[in-house]
Amino acid sequence: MTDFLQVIRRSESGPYISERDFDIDVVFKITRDLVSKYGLKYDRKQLITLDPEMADGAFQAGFELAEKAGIYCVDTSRIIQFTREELLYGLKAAPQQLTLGWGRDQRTLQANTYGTLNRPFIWAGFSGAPLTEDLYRHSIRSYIKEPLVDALGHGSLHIINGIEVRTGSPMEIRATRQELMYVQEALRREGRPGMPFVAAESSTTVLGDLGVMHPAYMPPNYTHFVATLNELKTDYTDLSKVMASYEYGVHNINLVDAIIGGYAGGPEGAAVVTIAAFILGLLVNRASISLCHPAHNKWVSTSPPESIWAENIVGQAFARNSPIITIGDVWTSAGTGTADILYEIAAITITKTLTGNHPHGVGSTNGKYPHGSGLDARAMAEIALAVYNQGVTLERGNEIVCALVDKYESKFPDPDIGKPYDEVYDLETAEPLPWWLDLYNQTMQELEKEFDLAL
Amino acid sequence: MTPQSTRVKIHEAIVSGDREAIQSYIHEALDGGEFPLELINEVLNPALKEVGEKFDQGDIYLPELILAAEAMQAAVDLLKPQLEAREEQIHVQGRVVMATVQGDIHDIGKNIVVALLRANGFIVLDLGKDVPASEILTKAEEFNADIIGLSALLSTTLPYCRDILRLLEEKGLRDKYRVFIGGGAATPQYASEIGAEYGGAHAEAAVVNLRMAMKGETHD
Repeated sequence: MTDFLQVIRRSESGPYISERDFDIDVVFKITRDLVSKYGLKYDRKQLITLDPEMADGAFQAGFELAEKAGIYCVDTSRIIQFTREELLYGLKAAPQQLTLGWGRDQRTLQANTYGTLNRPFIWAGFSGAPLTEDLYRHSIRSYIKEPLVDALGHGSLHIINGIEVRTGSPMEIRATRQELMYVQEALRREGRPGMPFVAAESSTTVLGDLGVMHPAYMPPNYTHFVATLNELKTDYTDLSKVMASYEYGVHNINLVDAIIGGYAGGPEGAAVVTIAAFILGLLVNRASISLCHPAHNKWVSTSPPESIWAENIVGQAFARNSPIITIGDVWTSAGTGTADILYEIAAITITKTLTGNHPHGVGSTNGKYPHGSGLDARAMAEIALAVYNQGVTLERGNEIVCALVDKYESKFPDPDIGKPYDEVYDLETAEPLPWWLDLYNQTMQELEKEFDLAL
Repeated sequence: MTPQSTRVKIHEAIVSGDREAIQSYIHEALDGGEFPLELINEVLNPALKEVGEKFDQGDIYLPELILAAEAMQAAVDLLKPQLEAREEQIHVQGRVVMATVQGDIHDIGKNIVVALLRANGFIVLDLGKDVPASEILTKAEEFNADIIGLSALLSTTLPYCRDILRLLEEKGLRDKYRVFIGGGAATPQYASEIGAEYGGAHAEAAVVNLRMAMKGETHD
């Protein structure tokens, strides 16, 4: 496989182009042509695609985009390019199975192959949310306590000792180290010491990542994020994150959040760009895992129908053509303590489970407010496992998902953001308050009855 | 060639974002006796507005918005000498300095707002991404801005928005500008906390709020 230092060399010697021209003349125009060439078409009535040729076409389009566009290094204004053979070898060498964590909490995460999907791996936490120290320490317990959760991915700390954590400031190191201390403490406290996790979420630059690459904080064989910038770009910060893990052994998760309505174009383009970014990320970000988060330019979350459709295409494209380990963000516009968040979670999770992306979430209120709780993760887990255990078909899954989207689609302009963690959970016991548990049970029973799901 | 057909071609060149073609059409229009200010008000502005509306409806995407704005700029650059010769001025909704704040390299949201503001008659100086507070302030002064627009996707870059407000206070310039913040991490509460205004939940809302600001109104 192409050596990482070769990637660095190409970031210095590849073709020069301005960022504007890469965005528009390369990414947008090539993607638009490929969407047309392969006849990719978003369909609101088929959010889970029933036409396998569409997913195959999307995979071919994504591969061609990766080959033609390459990935742009913002710091050098040069394109890192790969040959077709190098890209194919990257796919061939991609991990198919990872065993994470240790002891009885150890779990195995697998790539999904179309037709024989594996048990969904439940990766839960309040991802993407900025939290105070108090809220972080309290809320993290509620996710670890959920027995169906396989791995943890909690949010970031945005204030330490009363000092705001700023990107690139020394506080980023402090916050990331403190985050890891809290994660380890919470795992032991709740009796799941070996639980796998993704962490260093407080590190936007490489400072925090470097600060925790030590067994006392982030042992090797755990995971951290390395982003692909919008669209098909990297920079010295992200390449440095890869280099930081290079000889240390932490797994990189390639975080791809193609923007629907941005340089990728519509949902079809966002799917193609995501597929290309996953393929390129195997080489550039040395990704063990690839994370799918097609973000709607207006509503941000992954619950709008366009985002759900794009996730479904990406999942099926890899599961059918070249399985790699993919997870997908469950990001909602609504917040915890509402029925709406459960509808959004259900729609996204069913799509992911049936199309091959393991669910990762729940990032509620698009990460704006600290309005998340362990029951959100319970919903994600129960729904994913019900769909898997019952062997729900793509056809039936599509009917359910389309009906669920009908329930919340009109609410995006003014979503119910719910309540902060400390108003939905008991801080001492880390158990849901009775009213939230009642609403949860009532809504899940409604979903069970309406869609014949064994929740 | 009739003036009307040239107008149609100019309109189509804006909508399709063809900055090469529009230059010859503008020359053709001027040679045919069109007046520059009328071309801007009756052809260019409505065409760009149509592009903004198509984006709002999800019919086109950011690159098409940018290409249309670039075609518009190419046309205005050609018309400027004629306008100056006739001592005419384009009606401007407002002058805005936009930046993604220090530490933040996520600029797509800001780019959408910039393109939509231009499509709606604002003159925008786009400072790009990862811009320090001192540079934003200097450029706002040089550009004679009415509004400073700040974007931050990350919760850890929001504090850099506060720096700009603080610097404006320290320099005695706070009352000179309306300052709006937006982006993934921004909330109305945070904007209020640092003494700014909230741009809105998405780009279209930001355009509405900035337009209201130019009329001296305050949004909800």
